[in-house]
Amino acid sequence: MMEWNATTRYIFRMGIVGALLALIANLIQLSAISWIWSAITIYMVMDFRHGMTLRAGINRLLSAMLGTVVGYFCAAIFYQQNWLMLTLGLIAIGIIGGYLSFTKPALKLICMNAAVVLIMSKFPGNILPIWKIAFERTANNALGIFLVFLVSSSVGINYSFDLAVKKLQALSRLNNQCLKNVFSQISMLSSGPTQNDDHSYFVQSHELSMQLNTILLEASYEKQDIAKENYLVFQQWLKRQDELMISLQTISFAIKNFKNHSLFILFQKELQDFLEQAQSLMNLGEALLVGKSSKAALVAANKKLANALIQFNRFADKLRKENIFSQYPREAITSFYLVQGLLELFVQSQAANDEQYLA
Amino acid sequence: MKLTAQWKYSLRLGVAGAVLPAVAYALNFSLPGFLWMVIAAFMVADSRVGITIRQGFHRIGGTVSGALLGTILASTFDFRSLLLVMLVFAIIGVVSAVIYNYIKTLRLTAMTAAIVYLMIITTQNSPYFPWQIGLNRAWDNTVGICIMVLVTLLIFPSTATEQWEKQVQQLIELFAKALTQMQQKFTHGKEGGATSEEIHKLIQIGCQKLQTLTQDRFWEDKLNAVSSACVAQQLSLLRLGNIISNLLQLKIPAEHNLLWDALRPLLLNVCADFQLLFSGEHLVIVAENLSKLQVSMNQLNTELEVLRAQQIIPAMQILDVQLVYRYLSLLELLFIVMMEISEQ
Repeated sequence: MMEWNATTRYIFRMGIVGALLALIANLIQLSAISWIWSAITIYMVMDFRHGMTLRAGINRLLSAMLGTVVGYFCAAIFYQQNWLMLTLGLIAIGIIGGYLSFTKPALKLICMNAAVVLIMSKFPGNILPIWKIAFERTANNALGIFLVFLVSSSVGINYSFDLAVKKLQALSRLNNQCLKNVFSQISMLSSGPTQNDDHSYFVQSHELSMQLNTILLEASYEKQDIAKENYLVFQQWLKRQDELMISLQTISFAIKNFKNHSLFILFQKELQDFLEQAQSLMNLGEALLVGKSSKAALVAANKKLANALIQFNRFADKLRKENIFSQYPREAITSFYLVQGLLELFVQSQAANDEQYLA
Repeated sequence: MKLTAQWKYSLRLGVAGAVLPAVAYALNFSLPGFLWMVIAAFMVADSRVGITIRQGFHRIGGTVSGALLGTILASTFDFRSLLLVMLVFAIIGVVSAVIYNYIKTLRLTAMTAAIVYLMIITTQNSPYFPWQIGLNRAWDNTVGICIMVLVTLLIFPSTATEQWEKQVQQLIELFAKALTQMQQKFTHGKEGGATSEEIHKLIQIGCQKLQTLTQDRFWEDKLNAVSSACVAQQLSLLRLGNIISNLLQLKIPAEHNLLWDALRPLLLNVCADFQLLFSGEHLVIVAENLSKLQVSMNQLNTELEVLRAQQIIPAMQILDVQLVYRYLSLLELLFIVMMEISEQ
C-alpha cells in the first residue's frame, strides 16, 4: 500500500486542487483567460507544507491587489494603443514595482500583476474598462488562493509546525551528542583518544538552526491551528536549545584549542552524574514536546540537575581551597572554568525557561 | 548622487520594461505572446545576479517540461467532457508534483502545463497546431527570461558576493561595538549606549543573514568557476560572533576582587589591541597588530602566573575567580580565531 507521507499528500493535494478548479470554473462559467489566471495561482501557491502555502497565498493576494492598482493607473495614464505607450507603461511599472518589492520580497509579484493589467488593456478587441480588467485579475487570484487554502487545510494536511518539532528534536539530539563528546573528552572517560568533531557539529547545528528559523516563519501562519500550549512548550525548548548551541560551539572550539584538561580527571564522578541528569532532562523535554511527558517530571529532573551542579561546585571549591588547583598549569584551570561556565549556563537556562513556562 | 541599492533595482526593472517591448517588436511577437514573455521576465527578477540566473534556469526547465506536458494532454484527452477536463487537471497536478519531488528545479511545470492546455482547448479556431502553441509559450517565456538575465547582468549588477561583503562589514562593526561596550564595562563597571543584550541579539541576526548570503554566494562562485573560500570565512566569523556573544553575557566581578583589580588594566589593553583589528567596517589583521595583541596577551598571562604563584587565589571567593578566568579564556579563544582568519 502507498505510504501516506508528506510527499504523497502533496501530490494528492496538487491533483485535487486542479480538478476542483476545473469543476468550479465550469460551474461558474469562468472565461478561459480567468481560468488561466486562477490555474497559475493555484499551482504557484500550493506547496509542501500548510504554513508555506498560507504564506505564499497571503503574499500573492497582497501582490495581486497592489499590482493591479499600479497596473490600473499605468494603463489609465498610458492609454493609447501603441507600442510606445506600452513601453512607457512598462518602464513605470518596473520602477514602481522594483522600488516596492526591494524591501519586501513578499511583494515580488507586483510587477507581474501590473504588467498583466496594462498589456491586457491593450489587447485588440478588448472592450472591458481597465478597472474591470484589474478587478477580475484580483478576483481570479483570490479564487485560486481560496481553493488552495481549502484543499491545503482539509486534504492530507501537512503542518510546518510538525516539521519544526522534528528539526528541533534533531537539534536537541545533536546538542545532546555534543555535550556527551565534550564530557568524554575532558574527563578522558573514553577508552581511546576521542576525535574532536567540532567543525562538523558547528556546521550541522548552524544549518539546523537556520532551517528552524525558516520553518518557524511558516509555522507562525498556522498559529491558530496549533494548540497554544504546544506552541509555548516549543518556544521554550527552542530558546533553551539555541542558548545551549551557542555555548556548546564555543566550548567545543575551546576543547580543541586548549589541550590541557588534566584537572577534569578529578571530577569524573561529578561529571558523570551531571551528564546523566542533563540527558534525562533533555529527553524529558523532547518527550514533553510530543505530549509524552509531564511538567512535574520536568521540574523534578531540573531539581536533580541543579543538585548535580551544586555537588560539582562544592567539590571544585574544596579542591581549590586545598591548593590542589595551584598545582595544575594555567591552561588546565582556564579550560576547567570555561566548562564550568557552560554547566552553570545550561542549568540556569533550563531553570529560567521552566519558571517562565510554568508561570 | 549615489544611488541606493533599492533605486538601482528599481531602475533596472524600469530598463527591463523598456527592453522587453523593443525585443518583442523586433521579433514580431503577438500581444498575448508578449504578455507571457513579460510575466516570465518579471517572475525571475531578483536584486542579485546569481539568484536571477538560477531562477531563470529553473523557470526555463519548468516552462519546457510544462509546455510538453500540456501539449500531450491536450492532444490525448477529449476536452468536451467536464470529467475528463477535471482528470487532466488532476494529472497536471500529480505529474508536476512528482517531477518536482525528484527535480526541485522544475517547480513551475504545472503552471505552464495548465496555461498551454487551456490555451489549446479554448482556441479551437486557432490557425496553430497544439504543439505550435506549446512551442510558442516555451519560446516567449525563454526570450523574456534571457532578457531579464541580460539586463540584470548589465544594469547596476549586484551580486550576492557584494551583499555578503556588506553583511560582513556590518558584523565587524557590531563586533567593534561589542568590544567598546566591554571596555566601558571594564572601566566604569556599567554599560553605555546599547546594552549587551541588544548587541548580542544583533550579532545573532547578523550571523543568520550571513549564513543565507553564504549559500547564495557559494552558488555564484560556482557559476563563475571561482573556488569559494566564503564558507570557511563565514565559519570563522560565526565563531567570532559566538565568542563575543558569550563575552557580552559575562557580568563584571564584584568590587574588591584582588584578581580583577590586578588584571583589569591588562584586560583593557588586550581589548584595545583587539579593537585595532576591528577598524571601522573591516578586519585589519596585519602582522603588526597581531604581534601587538600577542604581547598584550602574554603580559596578561604572565601577570596571572605571578598572582597564582603568590597563592592569593585559593583564599578568594570561587565566584570571583571563575568570572575572571572565563574572561581570560574567551579572550584567548578570540585570539585563536583571529589567527585562524589571518591564515585564511
